[in-house]
Amino acid sequence: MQKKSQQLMDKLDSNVTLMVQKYQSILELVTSSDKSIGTQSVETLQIESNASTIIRLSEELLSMTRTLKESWVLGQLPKINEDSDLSNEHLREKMNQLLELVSDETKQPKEEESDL
Amino acid sequence: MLDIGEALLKDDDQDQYLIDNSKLPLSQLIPKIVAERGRFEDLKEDELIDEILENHQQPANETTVQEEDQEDSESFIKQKMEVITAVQTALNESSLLLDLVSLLISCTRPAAGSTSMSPHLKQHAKLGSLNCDDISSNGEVSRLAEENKEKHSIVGLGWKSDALDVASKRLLSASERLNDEVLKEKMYWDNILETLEANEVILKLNSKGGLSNSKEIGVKYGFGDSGSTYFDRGIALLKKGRSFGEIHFNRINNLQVDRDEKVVKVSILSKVDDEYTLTGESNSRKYLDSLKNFQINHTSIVGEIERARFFIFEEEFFHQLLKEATELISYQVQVDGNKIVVDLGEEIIEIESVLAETQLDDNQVPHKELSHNQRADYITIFLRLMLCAHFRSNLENKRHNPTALTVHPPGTPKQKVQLNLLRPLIGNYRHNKHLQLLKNIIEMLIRNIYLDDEKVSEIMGQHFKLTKHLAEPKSQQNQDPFIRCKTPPVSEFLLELPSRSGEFTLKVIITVSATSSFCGLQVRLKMFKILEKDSEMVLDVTFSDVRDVQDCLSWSWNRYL
Repeated sequence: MQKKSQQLMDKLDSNVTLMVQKYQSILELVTSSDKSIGTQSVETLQIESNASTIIRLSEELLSMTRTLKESWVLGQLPKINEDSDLSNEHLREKMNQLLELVSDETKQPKEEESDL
Repeated sequence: MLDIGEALLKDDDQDQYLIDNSKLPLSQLIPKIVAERGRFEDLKEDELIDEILENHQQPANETTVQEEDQEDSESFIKQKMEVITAVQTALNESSLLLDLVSLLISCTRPAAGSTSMSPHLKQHAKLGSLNCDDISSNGEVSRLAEENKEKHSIVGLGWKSDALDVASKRLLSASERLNDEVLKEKMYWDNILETLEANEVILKLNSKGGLSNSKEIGVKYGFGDSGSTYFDRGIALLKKGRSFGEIHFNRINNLQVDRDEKVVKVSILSKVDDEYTLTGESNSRKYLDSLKNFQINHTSIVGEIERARFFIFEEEFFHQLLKEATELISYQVQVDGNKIVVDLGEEIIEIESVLAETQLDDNQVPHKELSHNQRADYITIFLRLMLCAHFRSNLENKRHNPTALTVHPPGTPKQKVQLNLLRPLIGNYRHNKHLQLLKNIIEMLIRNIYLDDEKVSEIMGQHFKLTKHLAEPKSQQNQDPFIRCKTPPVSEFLLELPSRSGEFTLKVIITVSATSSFCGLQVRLKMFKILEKDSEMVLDVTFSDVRDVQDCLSWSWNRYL
């Protein structure tokens, strides 16, 4: 777990850094002082690819949140309801009463049963 | 032809490229002749003679033609030689050029350059010793270049502004898309959290049926982990809706069919004037209504899970009932289509699985007020609870330590917990009936012996005792609540009859028990003669029929009393 969280932190940091870098590089590429036509055409493509990279990085961040949520949710165990007021003895009495009622049609219930 | 060749060979302008037949080795000459003349078998002597004669006559008759031919061939050979020299020059030039280029290339890529370089050059020039440079020209050319540069920078600016536009549009649309995605995710995880808060078990599953083979979150709504052995373990995928991210509840089952929502219904038919009439019906509306209320009070997903759980239980419930009923055919339990008919003699219990919707609709199935309605309800409750008990025993069975391999050779099936839903019901019902019957028989027999109502009521009141539930283990702390329902019933009659002479008392112990299958009857009759100081056993018999007991009692009492 420790390792995984460290990985996630590293990933977060690297993604953010990369995003800033890519944005910075877009701004740098915009200037066109004394550059040959070939270089400029390459630079235009670089601008577009940098934008795509920024999008991909942010998508990765989103998927990271999902991973975090998943491990949070799946790492939990459901709570067990302990019915303290219904002791075994009490249940047994009720069950026996029910058995009597069911197996003898002449018997009538003494009190309202509301099991289940 | 051969002669022409020979003549040419003698000529000064001899064609050096023509091959002299006489100089060829035999291994090459023979294939050549075969190629010119055809197969050796086809050669005929006459033809060869004719040909030789023709060749000898020709020079005499056609000298002028020969001279013309000679001139033609001379010019042909001349032209041929010219072409050959031209080709050689070209070859020379191109190899020189290759050397130059190789030397140039060897500056940047020495390996590539050295492979194509001639050995002579390699000897005399160092690799990479030749270099080149762009020569910039002044004046007119530089002005043109300046103009081009200006033009290029304008074009470049245009390209870049286009690229920026594209980039910004892409980023914008992506931000909108991701924003939506975030909202969807939030919705999805909110729903998941609600499911978690409702204490459901959430797990990761391989998505089935979808296009992607991704992992998805699923929920266990069934009883697969609670001791159920039903084929449907009750697992569903929680799929994310495409438009809003809301959770969709998709059940996974091996049968890819939509199953009807059914509930188990119990009807009681009682014997009235030798005819069975309906006297009680269980009411599942109570459950369905509470389910509906639950769904109203909770979020859709939690409600849906609860609903699925209710119906999977009902489905398995009926399935297990059917399974048990098929084993009980010898005890008047019949499976008739989709209905279980339990014949108890005085009454018939019918268990069927009906569509839930029809139960809710009053017009379709009006619920009548019948005398045994409540009993029918109790029977459904009892059977349901027994299924829960069965689950519990399954779980407990799993919890046992595995037996050593030496005890059970591999391949023996694991011991299963017997399914006891209908058996306890039928068994206890029959047991009670048998007890009632025996009591009546005993009373009747006593009446026959003593012929005195007062005496009979005295005996029945003071010396007759019925003890029930003997098989049940005595109460301990935290005992299984279902212990009485799970053990076959055993009861005992204790009767003390004074002999008519008054010399002794006859102690009669009748133990009525059910077989391990609950439904069979076993009666053990013990009789002791009790004198003042001594006692003596006079009878110890086991019966499996009440009538036999009656006969035996009648005979023995007449004999001893």
